[in-house]
Amino acid sequence: MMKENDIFPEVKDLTVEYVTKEETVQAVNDVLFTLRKGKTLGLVGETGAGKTTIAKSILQVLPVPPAVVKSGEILIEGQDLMKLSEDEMCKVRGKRVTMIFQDPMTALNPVMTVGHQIAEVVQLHDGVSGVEAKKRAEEMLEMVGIPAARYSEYPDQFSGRMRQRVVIAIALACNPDLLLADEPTTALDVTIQAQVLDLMRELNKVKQTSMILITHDLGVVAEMCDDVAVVYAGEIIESGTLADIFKKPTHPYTLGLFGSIPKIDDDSERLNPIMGLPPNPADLPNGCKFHPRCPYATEECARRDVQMTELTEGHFCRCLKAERR
Amino acid sequence: MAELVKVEHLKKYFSVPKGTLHAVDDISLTIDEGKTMGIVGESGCGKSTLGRTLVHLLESTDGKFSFEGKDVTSLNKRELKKFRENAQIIFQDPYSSLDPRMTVEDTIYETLRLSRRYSRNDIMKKITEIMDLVGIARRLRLAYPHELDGGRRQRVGIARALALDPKFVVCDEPVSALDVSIQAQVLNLLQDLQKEKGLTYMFITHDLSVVRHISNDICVMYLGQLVETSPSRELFKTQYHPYTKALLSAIPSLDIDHKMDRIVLKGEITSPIDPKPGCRFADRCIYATDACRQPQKLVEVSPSHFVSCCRVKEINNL
Amino acid sequence: MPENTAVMGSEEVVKKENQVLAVIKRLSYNKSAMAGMIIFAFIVFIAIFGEMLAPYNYATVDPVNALQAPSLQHLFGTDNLGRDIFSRVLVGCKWSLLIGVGAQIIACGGGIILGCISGFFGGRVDQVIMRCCDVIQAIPSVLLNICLAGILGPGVFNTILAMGLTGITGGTRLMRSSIMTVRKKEYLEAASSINCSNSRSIIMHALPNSFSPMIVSFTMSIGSGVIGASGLTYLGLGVQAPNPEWGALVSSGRNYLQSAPYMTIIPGICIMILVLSLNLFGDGLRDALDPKLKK
Repeated sequence: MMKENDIFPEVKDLTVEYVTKEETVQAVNDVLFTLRKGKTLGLVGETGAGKTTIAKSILQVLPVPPAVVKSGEILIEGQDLMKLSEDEMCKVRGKRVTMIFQDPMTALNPVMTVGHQIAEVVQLHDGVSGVEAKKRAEEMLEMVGIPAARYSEYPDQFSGRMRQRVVIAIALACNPDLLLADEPTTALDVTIQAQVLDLMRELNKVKQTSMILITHDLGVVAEMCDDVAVVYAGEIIESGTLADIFKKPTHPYTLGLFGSIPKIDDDSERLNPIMGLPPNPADLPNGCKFHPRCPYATEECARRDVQMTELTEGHFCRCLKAERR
Repeated sequence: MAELVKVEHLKKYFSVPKGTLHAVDDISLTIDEGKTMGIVGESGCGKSTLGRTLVHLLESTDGKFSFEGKDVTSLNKRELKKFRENAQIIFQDPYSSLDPRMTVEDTIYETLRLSRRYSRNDIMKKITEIMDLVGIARRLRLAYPHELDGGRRQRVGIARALALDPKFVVCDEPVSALDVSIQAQVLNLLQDLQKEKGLTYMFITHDLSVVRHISNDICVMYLGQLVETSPSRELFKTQYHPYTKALLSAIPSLDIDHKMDRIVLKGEITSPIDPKPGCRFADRCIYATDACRQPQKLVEVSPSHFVSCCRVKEINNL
Repeated sequence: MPENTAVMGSEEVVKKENQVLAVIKRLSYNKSAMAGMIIFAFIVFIAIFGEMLAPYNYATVDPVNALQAPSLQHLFGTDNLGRDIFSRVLVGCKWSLLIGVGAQIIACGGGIILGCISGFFGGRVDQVIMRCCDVIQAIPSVLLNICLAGILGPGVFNTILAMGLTGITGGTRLMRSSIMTVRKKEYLEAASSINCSNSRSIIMHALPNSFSPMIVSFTMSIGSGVIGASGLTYLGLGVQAPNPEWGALVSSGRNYLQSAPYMTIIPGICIMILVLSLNLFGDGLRDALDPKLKK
């Protein structure tokens, strides 16, 4: 068993809905996971699967309304973030938990120098003097591989990859205990992606930062993560260690994902895509959410809810096929 | 196999406030009928500009470009219209490539009507035919783009491109905006269509695993220049150009047991605005010497594997 | 593709609705748009039949009954010369509607054409059109109106023309900027890849996707146009006295604001109702034309 203080954070039974006049979108349903300190968890899934909603609920930055958190606890060292007031949450945000957003082009303020933007975060959260904040900001820039001399340049003087590094520098400026990275490299080219991933891995090692990496790219997951959770229609349908998922994928959706990507060292002529389209989150199917697209679906799959089954220690799968074994 | 597209020393420059942007600089390539040519490169390397030049959405600055043996740069208006019907393009972003005020039917209808090949009744029949071909359900005939998901929109884009039975289709990152499972469906569709209609593709992408999957030949571009070209399987086995090596090593691998050693590039990217002569990768290349600052030639290193690097022999111990 | 087999089996025949009918149908569901339309129709009705409905002659001066507050005899009261304001408002409706709407039609029509050309083609054409607009906008619009009306000679239609021409610059700028945001979209590139001519691209693709700000601007500018026309009337260039016109009615009441506020307020409310009705209708029309808002 994992020791209590090894776990950081723990998310329990998180359910989030987006309620509008016309419809109720079940974005996240009963999501449950734990992350060990200093480890990296990969959340994998398609657009609209609810990955970003999970990250935003940890950081408590969901747009309310329309978002409604139906239930759930997010525990950081025994403290439930859901129960904190906005003022208390402000102290957690940035200092303990930070998030890297997907688009580096829009995450920076174009009329403020990059150095100032980092220093501002430091000052806000650590309450240090302006001079000291500047020093810290320069250190952060150096750390992400940008010369400190460029402190007083504006975001549009930077290339896309450098901006993303600035965003990462801002996210890391306060030594967070937990970093939420939402598709941090999707907008970047492969060679630059490689640089950014290297940087993040190094920080993870040196500072023991726990990370939740949200991505749709299984290659990135293979490079970065210790644990993986596959998200489909707001549910975690399979979770386990990297080896569990990549060597013994069990859920038909996980298998389908692997079948969908062209492999660099495989000469097969055709891909085996998953049939059909992801379900409309406002109108999810009964029973197993994946059954309309599943090649192994039986009549029972449509009838009853499927629970997570532990296959081997730490490897969970939400499928009747696995349940019966 | 007949050559369908032949490009020699093609150049496309843009004038920008700071000077002249060399988007495509001296590119030569040929694409055989029924084959797929993959163009790989990072953002800003000029691959989209090249694609748009080849379907004459942009006019080339200099160089020769022939289609079915005819020089495209000297076509008159009527011939150009005919050429465009034969050379079509599928766009990257299915969200901005469809007119938000036109239904699926309108979009295809316009294409067919402008060609003046069909009568009104035939057009209606043809629309159904094309929708079936690319796999858009008939009930979506009157759907507007915002009512469709990314995959279906991209199918509409493909339908528009294929409506006039072109011979040559430029696919400009057709799957990069789509989810993995949808991406695979669209890639399969493109391959099926190629087989059925004998299409010739130029497939532009930054995703190396996709390009390997779909192309017969691959060109690697870096800042407007062609650095390496070869049959695709050969390229993934052996790379000669230092940039290609770095590019391939940067692909995150699915193999969790054998992590590849990554070549991490350092140094600033050269500006493509009024660049100095020579290899544009030289500033980031660990092997760069003074000879690299001279104009480079494309050399055949092994059968049909061309590399544009003056130090290719020394680097690869050939 | 497997996903489609299910759908292909069921041969659904989708009938195409007439697009104009579809827009009207959607518009009819919009309550505020319908309200706007009914009010506007009422205003048009008054404009046409106002003279017949008027209880008094609009021009008859009756100093004995000057500055009377609204009563059953004089619904809206009388002005400083004892003329019945109710009759003057009814008759003035025609002129105000003509000036307000007419000038805006010229301004928006010209603006759409020039703005499309300027925004779509860019480059030198754009430069020339924009610099011309700069020059025209640098001259105070009242002065320009006076000059134009002076050259063309007094008269209602010349006033409309003058006001329309000065309004073109604003319309051009608005249209140009919204065309420019659409210009970068790939569907315009796609259009030229299927041999769509430039003029067709503009009319079929660029314009429908960028003219909704124009509708709003059209309805909003009518009010200021009506007021602006009163300035010209005052100078003897617009509607010729004793013909009433709402803008002029508002400004003639200015001197009696303390003693007879109704002289200003009532025609003012009329202008407001005109603008409001067109605004409601315009907003509804914009929504009805946008397929994204289709239910």
